[in-house]
Order: sequence, then C-alpha cells, then structure tokens
Amino acid sequence: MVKSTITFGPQHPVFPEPIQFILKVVDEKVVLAEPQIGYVHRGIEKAFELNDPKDNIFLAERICGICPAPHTTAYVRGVESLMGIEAPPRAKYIRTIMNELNRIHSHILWAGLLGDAIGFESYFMQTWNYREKVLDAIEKISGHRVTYAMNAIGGVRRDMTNEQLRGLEKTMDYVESSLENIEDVMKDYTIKKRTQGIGILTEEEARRDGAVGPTARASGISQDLRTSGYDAYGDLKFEPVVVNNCDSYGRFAVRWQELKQSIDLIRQCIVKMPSGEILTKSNNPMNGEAISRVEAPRGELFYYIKGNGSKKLERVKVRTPTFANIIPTVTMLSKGCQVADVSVIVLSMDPCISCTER
Amino acid sequence: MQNEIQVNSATLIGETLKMLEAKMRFATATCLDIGDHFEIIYHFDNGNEMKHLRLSFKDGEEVPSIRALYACARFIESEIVDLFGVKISGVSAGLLLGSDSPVAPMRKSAPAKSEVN
Repeated sequence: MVKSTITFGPQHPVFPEPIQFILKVVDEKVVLAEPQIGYVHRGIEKAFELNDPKDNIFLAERICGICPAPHTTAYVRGVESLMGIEAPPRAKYIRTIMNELNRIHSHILWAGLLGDAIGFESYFMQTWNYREKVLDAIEKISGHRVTYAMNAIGGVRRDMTNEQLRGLEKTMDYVESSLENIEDVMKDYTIKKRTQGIGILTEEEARRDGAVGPTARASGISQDLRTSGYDAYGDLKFEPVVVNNCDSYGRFAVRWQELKQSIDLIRQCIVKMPSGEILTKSNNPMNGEAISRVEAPRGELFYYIKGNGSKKLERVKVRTPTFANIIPTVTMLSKGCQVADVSVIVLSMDPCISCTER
Repeated sequence: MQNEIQVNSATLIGETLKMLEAKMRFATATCLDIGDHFEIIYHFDNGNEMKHLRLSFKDGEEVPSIRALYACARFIESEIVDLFGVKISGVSAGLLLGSDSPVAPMRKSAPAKSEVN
C-alpha cells in the first residue's frame, strides 16, 4: 500500500475560510489528518486591552461576521458582571431575539454551504434566499444586516416597537413555511448517502475531544448553555436538541431542528416581551475576573474578562466553538474516510475560521 | 474566582487527573501576564458548574502539558506558547503565528503595534 500526502486547503472551493488539513492517504482512504490554522490571525485579544470597553463591543462583533450577537452578548455580560450590574428584563428579551435570529441565519447559511459542498447548487440558492429574509428582519430591528451592535454594556442600544415585533412574527411565519418547503432534502437519497455514517464521532470521543454545540449534541451529549437560563432563556420553554446518530447527518438533523426551535423561542419572546427600560447606566469600575459563556450557533462561546479598576480591561480571552471543534474533526477524519468526504465532514462541524483565530 | 484551586508545576497533572476522573470537560485555558510572573487558568466544566486550576510560574520556567490527559488541550497550549512565549513541555510554537510574526505579542511588554516583515 502506498501512503501519500494530500494538502487540503487553505484555499479550497468548499472552504469559505482558510484552514488546511494535511491528509495522509492510503489509496483513497484518509488515515491521518493534521490541521493547520494561522492564516487570518488578527490579534483581536490584544486590541481588547487597548480600546475603551464600550468600543470593544464593535470589536467583539467583528471577531465573527456570522455570529456578532453571541460575541457581543458574551462580552457585555462579562463586563456587566465586573461592574456588578444587570441588564433590564426587556433588554434581555431583545438580546435573546437577536441571538436566535443570529442562530437561524447561521444555520441556514450552513445548510446552504453543505449543499454547495455536495454539489446541490439549487439547494444552496434556495436556503440563502430564505436567509436574506432573516437578515432583512435584523436590519429592520437594528439598522444593519451583519454588524448590528444591538448590545450595550447594561442592556441594548435600541428598543423594539410593537410594529417591529409584529413584522418579526410575519418573518418567522415566512421562514417556517419556507423551511418546510425544503425539509424533504433531509430524506433525499443523495444527501443521506453523503452524510449518513460519514464523519463518525462517538459520544465518548466527543467528550474526550471537548466537542461543543451541535457537534456534541449530534453525538448524544445534552450540552446547551441556554439551559442555564441566561438572558431571557430562563423564562422560555425548550429542550436541547440531541440526537444519537454521531455522524454528519446527525449534525445536519440537529441544526435543522434548532432552526424550528429558534423560531419558537422568538415567538415566545414576542408574546412574553416585558415593558420597561432597555439600559442600566452605570459608572462602576470594572474590577475582578469574570467568565461569560453563551450558546452561539456553533456551540459554547467562552469569554474570560479581567478588569483592574482602570478605564481599560486588563485581559479578554475568547475561545470560540470552532476552536474547540477542530480536534473532534481530526478524530472524524482520521478513521479511514474517503478523500471525497473530507469536505462534507469538515463542513458538518460548521467551521468558522476567522472567529477561531481572532 | 469561585471553585478555584491554586496549583504549581508539581501538582498540576495530579489535579488535572482529578478533573478527568470527575468527568469534567476541559473548556479552555487562559494565560495572564501578571508582570513579575505568569498564570495559566485551566477551565473545566461538568455541565452544571465550572472549576478552575490556577497555575503560577516564573518567566522561563517550563510547565507540564496536560495533553496526555486531555487531547483537546493541544491547540489551546500551542496558542498560549505562540502568544505569550512561555514554555510548556513538548509544545512548540507556530499554530497562529509564523516565523515573520511579532514574537509573543500578548505579553504586556510587547508593543501595541508591531512591524511585520
């Protein structure tokens, strides 16, 4: 048997962002995968120490162009903890709505990219068309489609009017019915052939490798930080979506169910939206250490923030979900998968590399 | 922080083994440049609560790696070596930074803006 080496990435048609896997291959089977990152490191953690903490909100949301809401939520919650303040209830609900809208467009984006990787271009087109409506809804609420900076230290920057809430309800109806139109893709023969039994990650391996988010939940691990009840999640009824497939199809199924779950959570927020202030103003010094974790679309987003009482933060550490999911992906790849399945397996964990490298 | 245990280079592996036996997930580790010494805080989670091991050490001192216990520590430790220029046994730099990158840019002594060749 001849062992050869194939470099997969960093520039590859199926990778929207640069990551490299050096694959050791016997015939068409991958026996070892070695990941390499470092193509888009921007030194954002250092920049956190140099900026005004309020300006850091805009920095945090630029860590990831897909997940600005979880990043700013984790950041402001950490700073609020240092200052000893809490956002008003209405602000918490608005934060929750923005985070769930973020999850919906992120999961739809991912579904489209999976279709693209498989060669299912019409599916890619349909899903991204539906995603546009979600981005439009975000723009109507915040004034921007991508970097919307809704969060502020102590609450949110903008309130939501009743008209905006009614408009959001209509958008959720549209997105729900649109997704039902393409739900049969889950039963498609080709999709199943390309994903079922591909990229196996057992529960034991997922725990050992520290998998998070849908990657962990598709391996039977009930791990969802939203159940801790931060922001408005404590008032909402939901259960983590967990399946035991342990393969790429399972990760697809978890995200698909979470799309419906997020639509439901937004509807619950609209019904239960409390009235009142949206911002708690404070000039308290930022002192001590805080850990702030939120459930981003790709999993646990971890912020460690340290203040020393001065006007700037001493340290902000960010661990993104993709960073945690790279080692589990190496495990999936190194089990003798076909070279043709590498793209599907890597995409099945929904990689976000700019976010990972910060 | 709550649930924090102070460790040193000699006790880190033993305390980490206790975390592994308690089925704690290794979430990540945070390195801090305190000025006269460094700290690495190892964060563990069991779904309900977090526990932390705080390792203090002098610049230049080599500290043990926990990779043998937690495979997922591999990238986390490499990143710390890259960004802070500290020594962790068996862990080399080069995950995030290249040969022409600023050296240990997260140290307090590192300039805010570095010339990149």
